[in-house]
Amino acid sequence: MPRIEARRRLANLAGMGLVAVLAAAALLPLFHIVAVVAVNGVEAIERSGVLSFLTEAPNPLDPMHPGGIGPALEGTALLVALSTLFSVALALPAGVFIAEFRRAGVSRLTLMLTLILVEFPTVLVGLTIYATEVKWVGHYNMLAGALALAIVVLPYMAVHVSEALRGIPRDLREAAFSVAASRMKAVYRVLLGVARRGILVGVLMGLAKAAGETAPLLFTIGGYFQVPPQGLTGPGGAVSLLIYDYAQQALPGYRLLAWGAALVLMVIVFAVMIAARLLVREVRL
Amino acid sequence: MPEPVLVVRNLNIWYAGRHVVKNVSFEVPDRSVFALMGPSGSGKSTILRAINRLLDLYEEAEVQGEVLLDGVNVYGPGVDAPWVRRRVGMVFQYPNPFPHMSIYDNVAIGPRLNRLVKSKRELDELVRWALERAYLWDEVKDRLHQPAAKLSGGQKQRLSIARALALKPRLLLMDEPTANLDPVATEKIEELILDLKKDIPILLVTHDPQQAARVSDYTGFLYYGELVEVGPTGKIFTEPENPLTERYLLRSLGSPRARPVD
Repeated sequence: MPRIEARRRLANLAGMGLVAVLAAAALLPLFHIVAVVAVNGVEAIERSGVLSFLTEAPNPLDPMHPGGIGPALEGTALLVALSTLFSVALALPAGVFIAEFRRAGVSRLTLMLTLILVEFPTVLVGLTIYATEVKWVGHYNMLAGALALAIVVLPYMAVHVSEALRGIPRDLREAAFSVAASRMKAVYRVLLGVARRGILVGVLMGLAKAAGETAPLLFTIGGYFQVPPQGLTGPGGAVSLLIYDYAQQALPGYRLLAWGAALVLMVIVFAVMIAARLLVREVRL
Repeated sequence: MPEPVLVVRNLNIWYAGRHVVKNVSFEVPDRSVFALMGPSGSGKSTILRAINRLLDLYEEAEVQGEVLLDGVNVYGPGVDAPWVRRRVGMVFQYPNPFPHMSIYDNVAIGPRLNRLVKSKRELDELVRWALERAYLWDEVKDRLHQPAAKLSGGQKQRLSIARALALKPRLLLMDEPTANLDPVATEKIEELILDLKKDIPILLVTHDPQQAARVSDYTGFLYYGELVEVGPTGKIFTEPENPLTERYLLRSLGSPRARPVD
């Protein structure tokens, strides 16, 4: 008996150990990315100082005083704000439609198209905007970038909204319908409020995605990193695009700025994700 | 004898193809409590949801038969579900005020969405009336604008009742309203039921025959979709005609001899 017991425990230990090693192996790339970006990024940002790095224009030709990514950061802020506005305006009704009108064939079709759009190659979204809006305006512009980002983010948000609505307990949903004067009022005046945290989480996740996306901006905003965007119809830059552009340059000053920008982007995205997590944890009905 | 407020006639309900309510007929007269009792899964809650047309929300559900509210068939042509729901209030098994709204807003939401009031003052009065009617006013009058989520379970359930009352319904449906409450809160709700029925008839679903005995005037015993027996509560509990009813009551209440002496 004791020998069998010992063997069982040994086998259990070995199994647990294997799982732990595999889990660590799976997480290794993430830690690697975070560590490499942090080490290189800190080095780059230290040369200019945090405040200067976040506000000044880049000075890539002088690696000792490389300046910062201020204009690109302004561009990202503009793009994220605008694209979030667009995608929320469309994702709310789309999510409501998917969640609350499941009986209709059009609703199922909407869900299907949304799920396809989630997996759609983002570079094609950028190209499409290039072939339409950018051609029409005549030059690269920030509005085009915001539109492309909105199209990329929209399906994520719509799925989040519909999931948040579907997650409302049956009793509460029925209570909303039992006091409301119409289906629309039940959904828009009561249920969206009940699901507001889940919806906010979806908006935050979409926002983080918009901040990090690069491909939709390749053919749309132009990529001017020295000056802040001049309104919506003019060209501009973004942090993600700056990283893509500067990391390919030969001079060390460029690469230094790209590392610093990478760290800034990572911090932004992590901060938004953590905020979303905290919101989820507080969900109570 | 005046016409009953609610008449259910030959009601049949299928859920995902399963015949869950079989040819059920009963009446709820004014100023009375009608208790629908039976084991869980017997179709009690489904019948309630057919009466205020909440079953419309579920595409798997199919309803046949007549549900007459003051003589109007709620499944008749030209009758839309919100019209029915405004006249038939509902209280649920879990006390479920809208968690993101204040106490005040929970009561005011119905009148607001149905445009029943013209001024803020009128709304204030209606909210106060509903809260008083639900025995809640004194406990919450100083914190009307605090979140409803902070109330106790019994208070939440009385708030749900006030929310339903604010629409001034013709009939109140209660789906096991005390199933998740402690005995003290339950007693208060039962007291409230007896008071409310003077103005508004109540159709109460319960799996507790003792509750049916305590508060109802009429009782129907539902057994796997069939209404086995209907009648005045006193008669059902003292001389049931159907052996199924008798067996159910004996099993739930225990035979008189087996009861401990108090």
